[in-house]
Amino acid sequence: MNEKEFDIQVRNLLQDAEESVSPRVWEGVAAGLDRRRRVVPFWLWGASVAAVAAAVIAGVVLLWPAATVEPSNLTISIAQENYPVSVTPAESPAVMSSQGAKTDQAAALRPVKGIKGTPAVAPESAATAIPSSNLMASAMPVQRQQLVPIKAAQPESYLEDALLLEQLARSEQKQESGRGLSIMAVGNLQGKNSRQDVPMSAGRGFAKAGLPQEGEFIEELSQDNFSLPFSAGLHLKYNFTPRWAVGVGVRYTNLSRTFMGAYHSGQGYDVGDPENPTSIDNTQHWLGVPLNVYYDIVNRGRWRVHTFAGGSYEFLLDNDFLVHAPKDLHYHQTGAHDMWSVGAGLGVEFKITPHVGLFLDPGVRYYLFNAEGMPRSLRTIQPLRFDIEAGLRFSLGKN
Amino acid sequence: MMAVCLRYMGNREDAEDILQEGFVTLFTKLESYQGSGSFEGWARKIFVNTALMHLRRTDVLGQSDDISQAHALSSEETTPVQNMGYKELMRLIEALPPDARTVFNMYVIEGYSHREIAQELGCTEATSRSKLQRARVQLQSMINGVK
Repeated sequence: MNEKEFDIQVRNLLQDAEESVSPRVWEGVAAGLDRRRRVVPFWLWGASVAAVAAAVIAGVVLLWPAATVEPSNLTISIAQENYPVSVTPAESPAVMSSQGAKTDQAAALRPVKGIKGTPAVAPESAATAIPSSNLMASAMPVQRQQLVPIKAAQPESYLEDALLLEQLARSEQKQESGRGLSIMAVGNLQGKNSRQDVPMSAGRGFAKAGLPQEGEFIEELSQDNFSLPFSAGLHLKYNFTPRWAVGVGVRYTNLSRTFMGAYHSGQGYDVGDPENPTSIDNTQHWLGVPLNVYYDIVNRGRWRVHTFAGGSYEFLLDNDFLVHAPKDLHYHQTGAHDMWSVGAGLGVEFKITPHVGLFLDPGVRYYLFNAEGMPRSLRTIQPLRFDIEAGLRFSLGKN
Repeated sequence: MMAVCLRYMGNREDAEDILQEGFVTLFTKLESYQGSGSFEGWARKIFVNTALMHLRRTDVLGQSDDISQAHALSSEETTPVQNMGYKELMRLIEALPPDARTVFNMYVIEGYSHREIAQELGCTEATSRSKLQRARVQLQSMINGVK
């Protein structure tokens, strides 16, 4: 008998091997799974934080413009309706002008007494959940296993225990893509990329309270310096099929900019002039209701890749101007301003645990609005915008 | 899988520890099973790897091996093992030195090549061959003694 025959004889004898297992093993397995289910490894938390940080940094770096927006040479007057609108001399032929022209009449502004300062500008793995009963049921038959060389394993050599475990694996995969409701805490950053030579739009609104002063207006005398738009909100997402889901929520958005300008009270008190303008901060607060439809392209293991599309309705809560003067002047301009937007994108989600996922949804969005009187912002200058939405998704069911 | 663990560990207590650890690993890695190959083979590899990790930790695989002592089995010293019982053979395999037993299991039962064994155990292919030969000779010697 040569070595090969010896090996074959030994292997054949061991192939029919059966060994009993003491109950302590299954108890230990159940306990081990419980421990792993509870503990999220430190590296996983670290990786998650790093991923979010990387996404934010990437978004800022990729979407931040190389230079500030070059304005047109226009100046804009924001004045009370029914009062003459003052427009400074401008070099551009596209100067908006004309006293009394209704479309050029701008927003009525009224000082808010007692309010100072800048408005607030918010700028080895978790365990798979397996019930202990399933575990015991699937694990016990393993005692009746065969010994077959791994490379030579044939379908007919599958044993009952292997089939049971395989069924368990497939069952897990099916459950992962099931229906369910989830809550998403989202944050959104939009790029500041703006084209040059943008047209100016005149704001038109109504004073929040009281009557505006006659002849009161703000004059814009420099380029805009836009801050990074950001949003935050809560969404509810419902998977009505394993792949399709619909999401609706509420979202706050902050749009802000700074420019050099002048304030004219109309009462003989002015702050700044074309030769010596003052800094003015403008912050817009929007509240919106987004509605999206999601389709899961891949949902395997810890990763989910999905595409989404939808629309959003937003309305202006407040349009705030802060004129930096020896004594800061603070204005609120309100109006019945709203805008719609449609967007689409491709997102990815990493499931930190079966019920908590970290998602990143880059996409594009186009804003639709009535240009007349719409307060100036990045959206009015360039309605098609790239944005990155990131957040945490908390699944309320098996998802 | 208990038999797999027992073949590598050589005693029931250690084998049950490996079996337990292997099942925990298996259940937590079920998602990574692609379904393309044999599930039994995939599962078995988890248990083998778990056993090898334990053996490496306890450094029982680092024993030196005198290659000069290794020689091929001759037909004169071999005895057919068909008539042996499983329990008897397992008892003899358990009595092999851990390093020789590990190489024997990987090569003869699991079907690893000497190159793969060398990579897994961090030794040379020649050492793997030597340990396999030593395991064969020792095992045959013990079988002859039983007969």
